Amino acid sequence: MFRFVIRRLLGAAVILAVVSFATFLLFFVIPGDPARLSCGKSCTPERLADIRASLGIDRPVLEQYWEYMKGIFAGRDFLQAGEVVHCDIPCFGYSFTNQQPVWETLVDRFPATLSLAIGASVLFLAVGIGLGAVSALRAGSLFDRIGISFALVGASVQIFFLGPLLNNIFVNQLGWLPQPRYVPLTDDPVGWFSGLLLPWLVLAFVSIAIYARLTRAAAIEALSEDFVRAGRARGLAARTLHLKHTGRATITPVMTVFGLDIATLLGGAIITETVFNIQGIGKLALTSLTNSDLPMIMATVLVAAIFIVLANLVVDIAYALVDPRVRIT
Amino acid sequence: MTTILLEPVEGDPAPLAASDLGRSPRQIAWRRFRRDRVGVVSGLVVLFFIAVAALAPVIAALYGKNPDTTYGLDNPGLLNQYSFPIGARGGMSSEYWLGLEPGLGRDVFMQLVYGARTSLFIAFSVALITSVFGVLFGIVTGYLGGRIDAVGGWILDLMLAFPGLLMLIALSLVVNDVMVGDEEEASTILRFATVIVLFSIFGWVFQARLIRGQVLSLREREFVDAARMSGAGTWRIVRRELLPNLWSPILVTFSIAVPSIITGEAALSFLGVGIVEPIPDWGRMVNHGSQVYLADPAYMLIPGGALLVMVLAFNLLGDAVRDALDSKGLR
Amino acid sequence: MTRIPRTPLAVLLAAALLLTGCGGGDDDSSTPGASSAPGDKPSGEERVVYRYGIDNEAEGPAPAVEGAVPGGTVRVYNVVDFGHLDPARIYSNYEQATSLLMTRALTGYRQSGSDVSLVGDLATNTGVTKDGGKTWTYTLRDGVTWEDGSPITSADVKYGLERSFEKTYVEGPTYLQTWFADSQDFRKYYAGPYGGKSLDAIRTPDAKTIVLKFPKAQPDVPFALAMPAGAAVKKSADTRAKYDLDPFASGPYKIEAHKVDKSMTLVPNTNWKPESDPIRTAYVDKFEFAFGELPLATNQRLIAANGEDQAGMTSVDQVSPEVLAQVVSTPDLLQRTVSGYTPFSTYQAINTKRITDLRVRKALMYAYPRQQIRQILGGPNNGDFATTIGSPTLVGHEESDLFNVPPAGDPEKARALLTEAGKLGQKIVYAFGALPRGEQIAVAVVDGLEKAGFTVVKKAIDPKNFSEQVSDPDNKFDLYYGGWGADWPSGSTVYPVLFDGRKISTGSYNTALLNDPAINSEIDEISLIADPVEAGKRWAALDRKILEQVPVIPDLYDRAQQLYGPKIGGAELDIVLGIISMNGIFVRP
Repeated sequence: MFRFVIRRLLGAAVILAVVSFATFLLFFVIPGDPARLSCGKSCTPERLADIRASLGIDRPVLEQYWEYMKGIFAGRDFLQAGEVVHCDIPCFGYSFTNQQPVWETLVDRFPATLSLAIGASVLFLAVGIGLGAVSALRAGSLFDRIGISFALVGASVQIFFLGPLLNNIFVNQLGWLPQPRYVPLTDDPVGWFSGLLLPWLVLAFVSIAIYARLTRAAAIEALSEDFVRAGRARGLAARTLHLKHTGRATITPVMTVFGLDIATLLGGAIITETVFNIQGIGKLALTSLTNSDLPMIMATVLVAAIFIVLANLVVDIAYALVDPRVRIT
Repeated sequence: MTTILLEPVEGDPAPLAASDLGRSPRQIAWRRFRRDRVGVVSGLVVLFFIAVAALAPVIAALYGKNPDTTYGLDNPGLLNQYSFPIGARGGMSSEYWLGLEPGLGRDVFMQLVYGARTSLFIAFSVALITSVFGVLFGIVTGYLGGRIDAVGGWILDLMLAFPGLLMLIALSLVVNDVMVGDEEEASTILRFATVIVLFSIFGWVFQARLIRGQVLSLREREFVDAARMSGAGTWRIVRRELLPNLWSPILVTFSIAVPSIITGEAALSFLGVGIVEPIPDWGRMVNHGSQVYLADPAYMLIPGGALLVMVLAFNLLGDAVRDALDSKGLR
Repeated sequence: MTRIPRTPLAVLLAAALLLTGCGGGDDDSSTPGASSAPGDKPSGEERVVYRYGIDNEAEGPAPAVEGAVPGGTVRVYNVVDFGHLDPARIYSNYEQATSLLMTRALTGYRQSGSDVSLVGDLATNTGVTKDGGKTWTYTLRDGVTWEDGSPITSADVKYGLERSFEKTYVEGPTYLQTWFADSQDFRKYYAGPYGGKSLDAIRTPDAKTIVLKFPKAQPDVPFALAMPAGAAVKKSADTRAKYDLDPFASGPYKIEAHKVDKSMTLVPNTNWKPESDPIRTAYVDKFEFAFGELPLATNQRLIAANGEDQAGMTSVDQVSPEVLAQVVSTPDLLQRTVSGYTPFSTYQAINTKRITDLRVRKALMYAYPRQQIRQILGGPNNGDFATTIGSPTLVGHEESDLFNVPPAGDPEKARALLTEAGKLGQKIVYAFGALPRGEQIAVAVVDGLEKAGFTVVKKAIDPKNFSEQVSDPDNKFDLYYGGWGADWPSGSTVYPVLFDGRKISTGSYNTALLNDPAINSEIDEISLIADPVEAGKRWAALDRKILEQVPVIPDLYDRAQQLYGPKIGGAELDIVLGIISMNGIFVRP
């Protein structure tokens, strides 16, 4: 098991290195002048010169990449308006638009994204798995059909359509909910909850279907498996059976999908954050793209990749723990 | 947000019903599908949308309008001074069946018909490309196994690690700069090609993962072993033994991919990249509709409803296909 | 000054401004010149006449706003963060409006209803000159202080002016710099204070007196100093690039926190003394800015005005076309808007280097579907159709309509002109900002031009590079959006900026790339005229002369309309800036 984890960790590190290099190459090589791209919207010739000097634009790409990676682990200095600015470990670059190390902005924006992801996940997992499980137990019933259709409608609408609409109805016109926004949980727990409730609901609504269907299918299958049938024959209470045996069989596929979903959400729910103006990583990524803030774009891509790779890793390990049938080689 | 991720789970195929004995798997599936009323209805709905999209020019000729003319701007009395359609239900009339678009005053019915073309063309192209590529990749890596499969699995993990939507947005911005010369505009073909290629680049991974998993499990099966023992060549095994068993997962992923690409393309339009004016597009219509719904509810409900029905029909059809093929592992 | 892109288009370059009948002048002269600008509401409603003047008697504190009570938090929802807050770099009207809360300049404007007066801000009056405008003397008011309680000195004012020469700060206006240097290339004359040198033309005989010496008479100095570029900056508090995010406050508010593109909080500067300030009131306890809000969402929440949004507003966003009809037809909402004509006028620039045939340019003008485009933007509330380059808010503006182009265009006439020129099928590269509204407008433009026999190629440009790309002297476009007003209501801040051919360069505003020696020399000639009324007449004549060559297609005399919450009191349109004023706002109990 230990060797398995180590091997997977190494693999993940290599993947991150490749993703970062590919992104670096993509943004530094394809659209022409990376210094101009790092310079942002109100670029002055002097700032451009600073950036050229700071980034070492004229040097080979590999060398620049090495500098960038070194910055993450060792920190780095940048020139700004003739002054040297130090960018501490972990230095994911210096945003000339925000005039601060990229890392500081990331740290500032991440809690919003985390809150959004956690709340939405709790909702879509609970409702999705619950709906799926009940549907499976009563497969073919009216509840099953209505429940799954409801979930499917969710999967068929768009956040950018549903979000503004519900926002205007429930927040603006009916006044049942406060304006969506993020306040730190530690500052104001009630404000945190009520401010994120609508984004959570909308984000969850579009994701419920996949979990409900996944759970339903897995549960129906598990219910028909020999061991459940045998258990029933042995007189085990239906309740115990559902929970213990079926639960375990259901959780693996759900876990796999959830791992990738939560990773994607943590990397920034671009559309949800834009629609509700939740200032998280997704909104930051989009703003950076419109501002042509290259260091920030790089960092958001990397952060998203890190989450996906990590989630895959965790899922694989958990998989091995939950399901002994998975071979660890 | 949601991703399609399918993991193969080993298990025996469902027991055959007595009436299915003696029929080919295809016949059995078709019989089952026909018995699924929801599946049949959604299949008809999907066919209807495809027909509308395919026959758009014919419909336009019969209807006597086109999607490009700004009727409301050209003819006084159709739009008010704020550019909203005059008349009930978004200006619906015997002349303009589904009313006029607020702002530019184009014919909503025509926009809808041609918009279906955009959505479906992109969705089917991407689904086709990703399926073909995913299947090839899955078969090659899965069947050859060993080091090639290890590399293949690693490539899949790598591709998965790129944040898809972010890369889509970033790259669509770049493509225009690089591909379009001075004094020319991005052609319709280039715009479609950009969206299709970008979606394909980040979409094939899901198909490939699934197929690879299937191939991995099939590879160990007795009939493949038997074929190998009997001296069959690789190509023959792939064609005769593997592919027939892969049809159902391929069909299922295809039917799941189509609605998710339709919504994905709509999301790109919402963010202002992807398909732009004057090419009619449902995503853009829905987005616009959700902005003007107070002043012109019809303009929100029509494209919004159409998109909902189409995606729902595709999703339900996907379910029905899966049930009919009874691919247990594919959820 | 420039302003934020309106939702419709990616980038509008424009300046604002005001109309005065008087450009400064003699010792202690307070001759208020009255001039009229076309008034308020569109479609035949009553017109408000803006009146402008100079008041050298103004003393602090500023006149109280009727019904104002202190206290409360105002929430401001803006689509984007401020591009700049460093006074040396500010040029947009919305930046100026908020900067006014934090930063004081030598002079400023005091508005009362439709009357605007130029008054002394940090200085006791708008300036004293005894040699016809070559030497200007200013005395600082008593009790003007920085946020740390230290007094604002003449050295701080000098340092602030010097800073605008720095090569790092290129975004702000350049009037003062070019006047000091008597040359466009002012950085050769003086390179800014960071190199350690000071500017000899600015003398500070004592801590309260500043003397500015110019090589030529410059009657508009009091107006130029009212821009943020005339603000004081304390040398020891100059954080250089970071100053743009968090300037050191001299006004009634200071920045408590500013997270770029996310949020900003303004709190009272307790060291600011109301009796030292004739312009600013400071009723509100706190301004909470949130950036990144979609304009339509902001308008919808202000319409609903639930909870804390009752004291909500936007300092940037206009009423979105999507909700305009609702706002205009609901008395309660209409009452909660500021609206009126702004100093901005908009146009489509024609690349005169590429489209050299006057007949083709005329054909473009006749083909251009102004009415259709205005309708897409929400109709007459966006402004009136323009028939001149300069806005009616300019001193000496004369109504004229050289070509009598119908609002919807005249495709037949355009086609006839094109046929006459033998250029039927002429290719036109139309450039626009790649935003949804820009795409919609492009549909109408293509439609209009093709009806007249043009072949149109659409070029969607990345909005953030729009101004840079279209000002490139070698750009490959033929037709693109532009707009300009005046930094103060004199043609000297319009025509030289837009049509002086010697200024053509990337980043300049002469995007029509017109370089006509006759026009250049006439610009020089009129610039020397000290009498604003006489100069105004000459500028108006020049407007017609330029328009004869059709370097631009006049589009709209711009109109603003902005919504605010029911508990916001004292809101009015800043006539000078053409945007909602942040000064004088209070929260109703």
